[in-house]
Amino acid sequence: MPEEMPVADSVVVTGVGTVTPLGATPDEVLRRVEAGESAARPPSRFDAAPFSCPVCAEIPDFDPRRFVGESKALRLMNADAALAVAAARLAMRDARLAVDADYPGDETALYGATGLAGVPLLDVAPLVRYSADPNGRFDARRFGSVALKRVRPILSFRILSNMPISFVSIFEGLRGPNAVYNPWEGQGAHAIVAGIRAVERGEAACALVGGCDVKTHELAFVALEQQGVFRPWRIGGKGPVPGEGAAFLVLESQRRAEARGARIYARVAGYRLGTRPRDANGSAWYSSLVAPLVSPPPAAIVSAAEDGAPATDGTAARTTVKPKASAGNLFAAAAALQVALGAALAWRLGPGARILANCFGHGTEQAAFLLEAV
Amino acid sequence: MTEQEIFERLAPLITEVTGIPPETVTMDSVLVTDLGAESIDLLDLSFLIEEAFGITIEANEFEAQVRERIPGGVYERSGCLTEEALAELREAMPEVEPRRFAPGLRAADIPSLLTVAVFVHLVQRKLDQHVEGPVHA
Amino acid sequence: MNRVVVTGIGVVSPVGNGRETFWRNLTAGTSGLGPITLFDASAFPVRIGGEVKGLDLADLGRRFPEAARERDRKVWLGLAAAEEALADAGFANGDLREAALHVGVGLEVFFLEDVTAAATEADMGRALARLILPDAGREPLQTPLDRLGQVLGDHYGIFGGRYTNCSACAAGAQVIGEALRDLQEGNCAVALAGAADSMLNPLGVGGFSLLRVLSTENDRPQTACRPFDASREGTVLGEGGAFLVLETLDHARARGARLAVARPRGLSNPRATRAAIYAEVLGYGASMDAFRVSDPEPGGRGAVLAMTKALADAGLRPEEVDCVNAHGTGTPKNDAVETAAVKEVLGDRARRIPVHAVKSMTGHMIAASGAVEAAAAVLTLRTGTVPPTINLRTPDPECDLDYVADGPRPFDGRTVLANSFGFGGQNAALLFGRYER
Repeated sequence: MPEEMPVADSVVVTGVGTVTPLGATPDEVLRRVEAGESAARPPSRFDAAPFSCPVCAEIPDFDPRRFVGESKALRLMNADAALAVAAARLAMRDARLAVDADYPGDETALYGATGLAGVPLLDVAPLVRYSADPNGRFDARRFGSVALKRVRPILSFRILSNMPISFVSIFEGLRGPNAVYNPWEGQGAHAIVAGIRAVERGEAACALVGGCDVKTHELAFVALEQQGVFRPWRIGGKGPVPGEGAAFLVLESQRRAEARGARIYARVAGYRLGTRPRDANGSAWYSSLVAPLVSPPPAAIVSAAEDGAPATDGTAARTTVKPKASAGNLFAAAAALQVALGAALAWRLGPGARILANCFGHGTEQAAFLLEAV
Repeated sequence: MTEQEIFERLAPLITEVTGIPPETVTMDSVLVTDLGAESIDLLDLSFLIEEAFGITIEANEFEAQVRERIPGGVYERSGCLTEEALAELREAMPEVEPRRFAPGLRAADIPSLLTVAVFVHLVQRKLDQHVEGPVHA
Repeated sequence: MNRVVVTGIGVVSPVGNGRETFWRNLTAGTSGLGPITLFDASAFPVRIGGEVKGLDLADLGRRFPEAARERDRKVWLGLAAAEEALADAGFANGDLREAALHVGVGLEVFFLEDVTAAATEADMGRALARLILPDAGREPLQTPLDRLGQVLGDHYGIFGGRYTNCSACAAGAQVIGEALRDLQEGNCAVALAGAADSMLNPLGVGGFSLLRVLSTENDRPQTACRPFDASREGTVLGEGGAFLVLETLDHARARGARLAVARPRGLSNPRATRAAIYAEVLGYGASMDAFRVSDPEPGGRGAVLAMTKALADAGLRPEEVDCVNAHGTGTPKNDAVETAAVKEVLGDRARRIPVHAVKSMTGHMIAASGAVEAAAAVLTLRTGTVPPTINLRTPDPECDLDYVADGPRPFDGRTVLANSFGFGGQNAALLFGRYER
């Protein structure tokens, strides 16, 4: 995998869209993180008492219609999908990219990531209630004869893991190369890398890459608890803050971006992917992963550190932003948010500034991206 | 319930599944071609109607009726509906222009012919069945 | 750009477990569909499916202790297939530290049995949490979709990247395409790519039945899936798993590969440490319909684009396609649209080559289908046989290609185009070629 990418024709970031508990633009998120704000609160929709983790990061008053208008498709979408189409719309608008006008829809790629436990209990409650016998045991006969008749047929669209990204393709008219990955931060990074490579090899003129995730409902908390994600809370009283949100980036080749007069946040100067062994010493392993990217050291780092997770690499920089603890861990959307914040920092710091965006997290797959302001 | 009453209760459901504002929905609106309904919208509408009116709509409601009316007869041949079937469908769905039941029509095309009036009368028939006493326990 | 070849295949499917049994039964036109036995489907509107039969999970569990308590059947199907593929390629105990792993998966909700106990409570969520959490030894109610990838990765020591692709019905094909890219571009020299899925559970069968895409011919399961037939009225859900070992040609040669001599009776590779080359992976094309949520674009624009891109990727002209391994689900819409799309891409050529539907026998294995069908495409090239499309009795004027309805066909073609069109509008097309030096 390339450590440094040739400058001749780089892949650049020309649009970012973020819908997060700390704001709907990367600048707002940066500002509020830097100001010490935190979106971590006790969950508003359920009682966190049974769980080791007492807080989550919710987006206040999220209404997808503000971003995509009225659409009958909205009723087919779960919260993850609604966030995805909103963030995707913001990114495309930010890039001032008109599909079919700027690039043929066939040449626009879409790579996204979705998360664990994407269906809230509310959606499947009728299925569950009507398939339980009086002792609370699952009864397949009741499921087939009673529960199925009480469930709205659109349920499938709200629970299939690829549908949020499919909805993005429909709303934005993207028809080219694509894939959907699942479920951790690393898979969100895979989506970004897939987009970079598609543009690099000329398979796509541009790529919309990112992810969406909603971990602020009960079923998600049960899943996270059972997967051991809340272990740091149990042991040390601090840990990951599950969040909800989506982030997307528009990537295109620098040459074509300049040709259409696009605003360029930064070019992707390099990236690293790694599969972390379970016994790897945290910090040292991450340091060796990013080593090729941090010489010379970057001006700023978007750190993936969060309470209880040693996702740091020891790189020093003048500016280090740690969004996960304050904005929440957006899991499948985390990588795109990290890179979006990196792009915003690059823009702020001006030409030549190098920003390291770490996309470390749960599972084995880890990644880091080096952005350079142009 | 009268036809008008049923229509008034049905219109918001149609708006929900098609996104078309209630003022634009008429008895003659063809759901697929006029209101842009796709397969999932028709399935969703059937479910919402069942819940709203307390009736049951079968998967292939009209096909089942027609097959019953031509026992021993052939419903389709090489994928296309037979003359017999087309004739029965014309009778079963007077709301649809008869010429739409033309040779070459396939079973899978039937949903694209459905108008709001078809649903209104279907609901009416089902409600009347309830009033007359349930056939099935 | 590196050339990429297939050096190992593993399959578990409704028509047989193990690639040899699978192929023998598939080419013989054996249906793997029958009444559902994995759960009590007697009160369901759909009571038939394509089940993997006779898989000894206890035995598998002894060889994969990492997954010992795994309740998720899909994971086991994937492990069985991957195990066979790696052994076939001579990597059972090999060094896969730099290899990449691309896994296609479907849907995971949760185990209903875990949740119904909370059903009687008004606040189901709170009841669920209080019920489940105190029991620390309990298996998770939801299996993360990357579980199969993690088990395989840990068991075989794969550290060149573990990708988990959940693109529904296109996933099984996409992972092979993405592994192809990884190898072409030199990110790795070996990749294990495949998929596993099982929708044969109440939620899977129930959810799909509500969409009215499934056949309800419960009394005649073996003929219920009739791709391209005029009387087709739905697909049948199946389950399965398939993995391919892909390598750069250079790497395969360095390991001592040669094109395995065709053996009419068997496909086993007795020299387990030397690579046999089954076929070459020539191209991959992916697209999205971006049209509507539940209906394919009537002209098959997305399918046309995926196939066209695969051809361009492989540098092939339509006249050079010798067989189409169709998506062929047996739903009224898909088969007509796919036929139109194949004709648009291949022109005249479409009428002169076999176009066959594996799903007529396996049913629709959702995420696994693309991978199982890729295995079939490779085996078509390797053994010189195109499997039939069974249950095709009444020709449909809209589906007028040669669907190999009359039984297996001898084949000396050099390329196979394999299609997978997914729920949600993701489309993937793969081109496989006879390996020629």
